[in-house]
Amino acid sequence: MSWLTWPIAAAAAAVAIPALVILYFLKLKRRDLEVSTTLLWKKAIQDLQANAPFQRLRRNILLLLQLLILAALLLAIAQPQMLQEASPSAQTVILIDRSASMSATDEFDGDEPLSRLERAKLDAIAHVETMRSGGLLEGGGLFSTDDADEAMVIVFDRSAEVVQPFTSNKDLLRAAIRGVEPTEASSSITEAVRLASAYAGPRVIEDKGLVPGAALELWSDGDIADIGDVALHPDTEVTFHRVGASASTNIAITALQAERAYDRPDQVSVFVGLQSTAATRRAVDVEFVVDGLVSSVRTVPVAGRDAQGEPGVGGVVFTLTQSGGSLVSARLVLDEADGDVLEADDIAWLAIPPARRLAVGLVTEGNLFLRQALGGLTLSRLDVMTPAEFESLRAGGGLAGFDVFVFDRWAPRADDDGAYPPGRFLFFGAVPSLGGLELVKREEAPVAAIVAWERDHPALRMVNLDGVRVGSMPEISVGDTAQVLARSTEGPAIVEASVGATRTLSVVFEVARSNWPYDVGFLLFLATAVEYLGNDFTEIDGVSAHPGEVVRTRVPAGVDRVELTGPDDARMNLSPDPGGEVVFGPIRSSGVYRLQWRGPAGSRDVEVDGQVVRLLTASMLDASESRVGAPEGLSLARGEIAGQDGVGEGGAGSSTLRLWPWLLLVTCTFMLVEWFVYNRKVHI
Amino acid sequence: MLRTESIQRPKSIDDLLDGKLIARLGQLDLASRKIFAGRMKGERRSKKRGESVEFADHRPYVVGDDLRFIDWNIFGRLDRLFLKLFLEEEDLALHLVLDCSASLDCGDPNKFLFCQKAAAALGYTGLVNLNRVAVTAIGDPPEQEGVEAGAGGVVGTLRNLRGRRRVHDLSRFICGMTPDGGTRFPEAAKRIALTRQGKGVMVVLSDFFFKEGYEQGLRYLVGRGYDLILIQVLSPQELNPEIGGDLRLLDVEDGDRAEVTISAPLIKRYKANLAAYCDQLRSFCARREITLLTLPSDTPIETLLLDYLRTRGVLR
Repeated sequence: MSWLTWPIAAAAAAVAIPALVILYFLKLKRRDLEVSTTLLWKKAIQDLQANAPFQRLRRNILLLLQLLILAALLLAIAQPQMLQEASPSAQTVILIDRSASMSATDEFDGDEPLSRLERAKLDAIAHVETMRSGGLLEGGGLFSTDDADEAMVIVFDRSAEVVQPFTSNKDLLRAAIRGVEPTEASSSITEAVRLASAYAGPRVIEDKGLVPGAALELWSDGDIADIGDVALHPDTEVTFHRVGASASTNIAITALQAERAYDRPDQVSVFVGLQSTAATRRAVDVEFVVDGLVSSVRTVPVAGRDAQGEPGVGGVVFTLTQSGGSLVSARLVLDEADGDVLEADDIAWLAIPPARRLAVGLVTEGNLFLRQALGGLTLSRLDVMTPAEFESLRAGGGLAGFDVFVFDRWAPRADDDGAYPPGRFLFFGAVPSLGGLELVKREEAPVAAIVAWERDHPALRMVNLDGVRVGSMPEISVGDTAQVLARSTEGPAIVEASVGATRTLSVVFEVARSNWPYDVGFLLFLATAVEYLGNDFTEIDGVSAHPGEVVRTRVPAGVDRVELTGPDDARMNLSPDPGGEVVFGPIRSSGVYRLQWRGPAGSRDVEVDGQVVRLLTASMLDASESRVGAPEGLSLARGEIAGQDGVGEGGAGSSTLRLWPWLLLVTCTFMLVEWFVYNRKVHI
Repeated sequence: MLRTESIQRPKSIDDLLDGKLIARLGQLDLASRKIFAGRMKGERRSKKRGESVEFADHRPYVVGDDLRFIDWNIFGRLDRLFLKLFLEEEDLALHLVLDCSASLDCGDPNKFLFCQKAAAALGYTGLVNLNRVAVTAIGDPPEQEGVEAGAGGVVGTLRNLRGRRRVHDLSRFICGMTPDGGTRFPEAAKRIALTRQGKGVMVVLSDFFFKEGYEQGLRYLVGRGYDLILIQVLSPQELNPEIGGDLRLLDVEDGDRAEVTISAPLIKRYKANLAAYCDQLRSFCARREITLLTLPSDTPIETLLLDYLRTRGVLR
């Protein structure tokens, strides 16, 4: 039992009760009336008193009733409320996972199947109900108390969003929770925890020292990739409300990749990767759709999960002959018997750009290795020019005719206003003055060896730099925005820098003064680097975007307005930045995003009815989200916490019972009784 | 029940009785269930054989009897002397006792005014029928300077009125009475009983709200053999009180106070008590052959005289 506004009630009681009693002790002012005799009246009074039961009580029954009314009223003013369980902390952060796996329908409300998110929302609302309510005079009044619990609501998937800042208003909290919609993005809790910390994180309070922040109430299926990276104060209370079943079955498409044959660009191979969390091996029908028409259906065997609980995988390759661009999708044909709990990962799309070859300009005073190597690539055009010719081309606005420029031991300078020419540039033996890159000294240095490189970077994916020795490694400084892709014993060897519409890859050393040109890896690097630079980031290798990501794509110069049509047919107008880049997102759902504009078309765009159309696809393709198994606990950096099913302790079935409405009811009842008694007394 | 705020006190017999009523009263006469011996010749049959024209009986002649009353017709037939006896007609003593306590000065119409009218009407009837009329005002007025306090509960007495000529004396006496103070009914009754000479009809006009009780007083009166007639006058407000609220009731006679909060049960209980009080009085009277009339003060005097009193044989 707690009292929200007991000071008001105490003050009122101190005044009202003595006042009532004093009023009662005051002699009633009676009207004098002369009568012929008081004989019969006195006898009547005596008779009434003699015949009435509980005479002493009756004499003061009105006082007793009025005291009861006053007591009930004062108690109501004090706003008592009963907490059936221990009350939660004063401040709570409600974190709700809305990632793709939360759409799995393995929860039940009675017999009705329920998605994990719906269950989480119901439980979170139930949790809100357990919060202590604010008083009637809440809101900074003279007698307001700070006993009301506050909560904020943060939803997160790949990113986090505050949908309701701290408030004790349960209606707002309930509305915020009800308004949470599922997305098809992956889970990342780091940003959500950072947001929570920003609002109510650990802080230093005078005389108390460092105090832990608000308690975190997390509703999730526990399938959070970066949960181990979350840094929390050791005393910050974290409650994990687990939703979902740990052994749910889900069959998903986790990969959709397309590749054109190097020698026959019209031959496209599309690989569909599958994953199954079923206990046993399954045969799944995969439907392959090209440009809206079902092209093929294959039955693919997919292994069941292994002894460690790791899902089984499978895959199938579809081939098509298509020199132009096309939109392909793969869909799993499942029935109820398969027990698939998540639909979002049963389909994936991919926009395959038209087969194309890049136009490359080599700016060099003469470099045999580069010319020979580039000449060996499948390019639509290779122009060799001197720096002077490049500058004249630049002045004449002819740079747009090339997809990639390769610079040999020379880098163009920035404009007078500091802007670098837009384009994709690959430097050998030079670094552009871009993104904080700067050549410090070009002095002789001992032989340097490449010691580490980004093996996952698209430009270095197939390259082995182990044996590369550099005779002379210049020293450069790398700014914040540049990324070192390969590091030698003497400093950065390959760096990437992108500013605006300019994207560059720089091999810091002269290849001619290394043994790299004699390695096959050099040729591979050159080919992948040119390919990487020449294609848009999101479309490279046919990789589509994922829900939750921000999508960037570059449209040709001169396009000032682009219309975006999403999977739900919602239209939106976008304006490209001066470099021609269009940015939108983060995208919520998977599907096909259609960009349309009037004007020049890029090399990968198609023209339909006089409009240029570019298709971008977003698919879940997230093996982690598609696992859907809800772990029993969470492994935080500070240790393991066990999950609670439902609302957990102090949650399900418990509620805060506000007593003041009942007390008001009692007051009204007593008033009615008092009114009745009084009227019985005075009624003639 | 409530004290009458302002009242026009009667000044003369005309204020008490109007001409029509007086004319009708002339046709009435007092009656008594008992036959009393009068002191003077009157118009009333007496127990005594006398000289009226109405034959009563015969008795044998004895020496010394008045020869004028010998029935000669019987002597002719029987040859024996018988004497004719005639009924004696005597006067009737009417004693009016008027309660002059303050409790009578209540109600609307005023109870005392009603009593005054009734006393005047009965006294007039008595006087015009050559009866001896006496009036006694009882009460216990507060002692005031220049005003003689009532002795033994009697405020004033008017005796031996007889004949129409004394009507004005009667009315003057009645109109001169002012209700005030309380009563000492037993003392007053004792005094009346002791000073009263002869027997006759006694009419007591009061509300009989005597805190000291009416029983002893009535025993004194009835013990002297009067044909006792009590007229209890109650105001309509006493019979059916229409008051409400938190009140302090003041007794007009002794200033006694009763704090009441008027409610339905209280009113009900009051009415029950009043009924019980009246029943008790009635029962007391019935056991002692006392005639009791309980009347509201709004009863017309004609109704009292021509209806109630004739029905009960007080008037004829």
